[in-house]
Amino acid sequence: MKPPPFAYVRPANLDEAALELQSDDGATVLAGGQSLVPMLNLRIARPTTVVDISRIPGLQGIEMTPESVAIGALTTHSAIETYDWPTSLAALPVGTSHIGYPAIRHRGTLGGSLAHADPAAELPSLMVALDATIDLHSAGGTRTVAADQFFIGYYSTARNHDELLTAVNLPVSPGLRTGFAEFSRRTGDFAIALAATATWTEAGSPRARVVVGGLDVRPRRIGAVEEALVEGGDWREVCTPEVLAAFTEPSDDIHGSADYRLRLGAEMVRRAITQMEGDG
Amino acid sequence: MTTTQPRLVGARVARVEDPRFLKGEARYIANIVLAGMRHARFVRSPLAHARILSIDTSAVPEGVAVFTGDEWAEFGIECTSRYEGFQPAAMPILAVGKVRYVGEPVVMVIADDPYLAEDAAEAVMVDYDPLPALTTIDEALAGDAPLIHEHWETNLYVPRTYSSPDYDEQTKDMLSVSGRLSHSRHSGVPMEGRAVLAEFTAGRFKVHTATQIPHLVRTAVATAMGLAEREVQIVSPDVGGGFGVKAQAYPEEVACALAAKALRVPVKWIEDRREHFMASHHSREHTHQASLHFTEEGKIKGLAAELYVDMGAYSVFPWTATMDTGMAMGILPGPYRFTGYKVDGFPTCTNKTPYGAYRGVSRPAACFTIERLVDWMARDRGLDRLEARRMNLVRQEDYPWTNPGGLVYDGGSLDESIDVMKEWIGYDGLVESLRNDRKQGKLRGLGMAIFTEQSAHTTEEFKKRGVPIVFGYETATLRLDPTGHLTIAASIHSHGQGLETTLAQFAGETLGMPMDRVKVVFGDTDQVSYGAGTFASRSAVLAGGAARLAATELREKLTRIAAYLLEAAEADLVFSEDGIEVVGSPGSGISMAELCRITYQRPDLLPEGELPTLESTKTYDAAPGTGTYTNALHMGVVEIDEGTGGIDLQNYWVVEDCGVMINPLVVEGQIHGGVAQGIGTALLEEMIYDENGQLLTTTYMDYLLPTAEDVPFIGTRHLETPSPFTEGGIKGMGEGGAIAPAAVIAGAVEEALSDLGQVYVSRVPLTPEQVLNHIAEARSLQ
Amino acid sequence: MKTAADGTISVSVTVNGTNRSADVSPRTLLSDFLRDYLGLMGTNVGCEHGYCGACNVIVDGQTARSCLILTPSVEGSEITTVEGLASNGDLSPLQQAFQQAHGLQCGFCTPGFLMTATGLLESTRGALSDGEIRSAISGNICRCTGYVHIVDAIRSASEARSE
Repeated sequence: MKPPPFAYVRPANLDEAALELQSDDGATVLAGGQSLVPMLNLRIARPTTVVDISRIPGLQGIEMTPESVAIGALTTHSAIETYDWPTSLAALPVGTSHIGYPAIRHRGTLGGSLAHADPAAELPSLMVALDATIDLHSAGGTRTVAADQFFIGYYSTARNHDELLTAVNLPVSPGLRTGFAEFSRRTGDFAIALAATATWTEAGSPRARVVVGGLDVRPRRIGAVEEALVEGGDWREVCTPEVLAAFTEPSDDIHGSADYRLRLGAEMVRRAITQMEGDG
Repeated sequence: MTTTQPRLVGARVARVEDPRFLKGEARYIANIVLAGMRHARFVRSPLAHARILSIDTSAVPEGVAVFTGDEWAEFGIECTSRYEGFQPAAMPILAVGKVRYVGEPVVMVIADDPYLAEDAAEAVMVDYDPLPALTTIDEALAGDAPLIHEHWETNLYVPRTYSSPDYDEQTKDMLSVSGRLSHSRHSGVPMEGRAVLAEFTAGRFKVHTATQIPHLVRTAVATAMGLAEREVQIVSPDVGGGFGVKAQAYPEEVACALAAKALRVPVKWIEDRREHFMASHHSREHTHQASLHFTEEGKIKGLAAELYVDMGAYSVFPWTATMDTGMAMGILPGPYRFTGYKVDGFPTCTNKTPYGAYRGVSRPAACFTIERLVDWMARDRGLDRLEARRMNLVRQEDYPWTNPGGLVYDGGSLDESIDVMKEWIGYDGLVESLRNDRKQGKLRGLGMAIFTEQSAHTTEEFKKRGVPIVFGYETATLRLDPTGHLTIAASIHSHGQGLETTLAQFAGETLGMPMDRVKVVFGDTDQVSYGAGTFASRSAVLAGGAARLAATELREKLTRIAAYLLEAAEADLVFSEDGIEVVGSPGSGISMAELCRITYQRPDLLPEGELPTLESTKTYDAAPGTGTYTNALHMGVVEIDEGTGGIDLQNYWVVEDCGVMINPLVVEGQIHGGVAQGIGTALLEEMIYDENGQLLTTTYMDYLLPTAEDVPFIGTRHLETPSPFTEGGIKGMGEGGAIAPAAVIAGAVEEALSDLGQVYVSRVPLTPEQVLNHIAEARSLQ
Repeated sequence: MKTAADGTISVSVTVNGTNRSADVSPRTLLSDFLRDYLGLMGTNVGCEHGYCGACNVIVDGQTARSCLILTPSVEGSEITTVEGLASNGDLSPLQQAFQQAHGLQCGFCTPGFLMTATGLLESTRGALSDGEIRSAISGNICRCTGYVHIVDAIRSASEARSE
């Protein structure tokens, strides 16, 4: 279990990094390495070049204003977990604390986790629930993609090969509340099912996001529960495996059957919303 | 002799071996670097069952050495049972013509570093013609199943059957409960994988290997290569856990030796974790179809069982493929007093990784079966589960008790363990409070299991099991040097059990030696006498017994010499940390250093006829050879999360009796570790194969080991009933902790769900998904 | 500057207070760098995919899996390994606590636990609860001890420092 051979480069800035990616179709990005290096050791990932962006300045840190939060792509899970968040964003440190173990969270980064896009990982679902936007930088310029549009499949995102994920922006809308719940066999394992939820008001109208992870190839929003929350109906009635089945396509694996994931997903949604409402 | 000498036996002595591990100075094989050393990597079968059509090594980089099975076809490892009808098949060093499980070594490459070796292995192309994979016992035993070993008649290694003469009479017209009870396939998974470093120098092989059984590996390697055993030295330095996985001779050990000779360089192979899951032996997978027969009052009269064990593709050395069924057939009746017994064993060959020992060998499955059946009997009869056990236990006056499987229980404290447990945990109040919790909707329950742990079994037991090498005895050599320091060279090994400390305590005490003057040596066939090694909860009893006998002989000699030198009567001498003194005359004695110096360097001062040497070698086989019987009662409380099926194991208690304890701290460490592994058995661990025989659990992401958050605090209480058979009254206990947790947790889950409806938990690991299914089943029964 | 797959890159780090440099292949894992280039064999390699924690070391003040770090990426870092705990051959208070509590058996996971516990003790104050300890060590697997004595050892080290 040793990595296959690859070239290595440590660009000094974003533009250099973007050029490296542009010039090499087989190149991959190294940030904290907590997703990439296991895949290298298992020889599942076989890049021609590893572009180490971990030293590029300006990609780390959390900036909070009353209306929004900007988090640099190289911000570690530990930094997010231990930041002094307002209650409205309680789901963020709670969800982050579920990632792996302390030693993993010390090095793993927000950008790395999002670009890796494991469908059972915490941060992708959280970003969709929090209505985040994701900043991408390439030699051709920059663009911003909504998290809801960013995750497109199993380990697959809207990021083009030559783009670097640089930052995430979270709106802090009036009345924002957030919730998170996860179940895995052991502490630190990838979730069998997780749920991230948020409610807020936009121009006086209630909004809701209810996202499940582990039930599909990407985070999935559960529209029926979102509607119930927005309309003030009894959301518990639509928090069922049957309803989740209409919004997700879970599959069987050794950690749980599709049926179990649906049951568990509904339970996690219930718990995330209950937690969210309790925090209010 | 009256004695004032300090007691070492029974003291909670901190381990003397710890500093090197704590400082990062341990000598694991991975840490040994030899000049010119090169690195091996094995190309392993990606298919469960296939013919090898061709092997193309043309893309392997220059300078990399390559070996294939045909070159070494003559060097297999064979382990044939003495049971009549056993179908033998040697395990090849590298597959020859055919592969029989995913992970089987096919090609060996040797390069300058492990990275390059892995690159080279990827460059080897093997073309296979797939054959049907037999991945379950049912498939393997079906009438039309293809044969895994073509020269066999069926895929059964050898069926075994036994029936007590009174089975029919005892069970006639009795009530009964039955079930199909099973354990998943899993394994010991030590933190250090296997590791080999082989050299061929001066016409001799020196094979460093992370093994529990250095001499037996020497026998296997020498036999495979047709050598005299003196031509092979096996060195097993610090071993990072074994649990039975390393109590086996593996083809990689022979391969590294052969390659080292062919290339004339040291060859190192460090198993990686994926290889470990695929190619280090598996264990535990049992299915028992069993019935318990009893009277209306709940008195057990008989037990019938068919035992199916999936032994994988090859019989492993030195255990044979009948080890698990053989052991289960003996111990299945557990601690209960009945005579009617009928049992059949079916060790089956499948296209899975070969199956070997794991802490507890068969006893976790056997305990699970009998304890589940007793729980179900108690439910059927409306009895308290603990009282249902108590009324059926072997009684104190029955010892030595020959169980219906033929095992002789040497003694114990079964009844007393129940009394101690009840008082310690406040059993009656706990049962009541759990009942109240359930009334309020909390799914909490208590489970229990009581067992006798066959341990330190020797000649008689292994003779019965038909193994080719009967593991009877162990040998220890004690040597005092001229400065009065003691070396104990023992034929066992240690891979975490603390035997550097406990052997020093047990034998050192006899000579009044302080711990810092005793050094224990093992793990090198050039330095210690022939012996089996460390497994089956036997090392303290057998090597300890041998060392104690040798110490006694040295003590007698030292006494004679001291008496002569001090002009005192032998009966008036006492041994202490300072040496030997005359009773009642402080300062009158002679130091151990002086006594040893005189013995070696001033033979002119010795009594006539005393030889100037202080060495003794003793060999010990604890009669009657069917083992010592440690007993224990385990209890635990679980709470189930109804929304997820998650099981929270909240308390775990152990009352155990392993006879006289040498070091209670070490005893408790062994219990904790065993219980944690048993929790893995109960809740987490499973080697999962798909229908094509692909192993799906080859990382720690998929094969789940218990973490510090899965294992609760484990409380222990000790009873000490000395064994009447052994030196010092000690009993083996290393495996016991792992035996009961599956039965305890299954029973606790059943009780936790009991207000919803009565379910039967008959398979482990009990996953959260299965718990939810049980909850649905319980509700549907209402 | 790009290093070719078959080339080497110079890496300089401070390990246990001493500056160490070597030319390594880009793919060299930090665990292998410590062991094979620097001869620091105390860091054991248990799984090479980030789950067992046997290879934990401290990198720039935080515990990390050395098997999940490419050596060139820690250029200039400060690293502490198990060899850095004892001073002048004497066990540190934490190491002594492990010996007294029988917090190790086969010893293979022990350096990883010691480094995790060191990181925990450096980032907290006062006596730690069992819950805090168990959570902090949940990413380190021990197959021998059932964790009970490891928790005892870390708790007693945390109590000793707060006295």
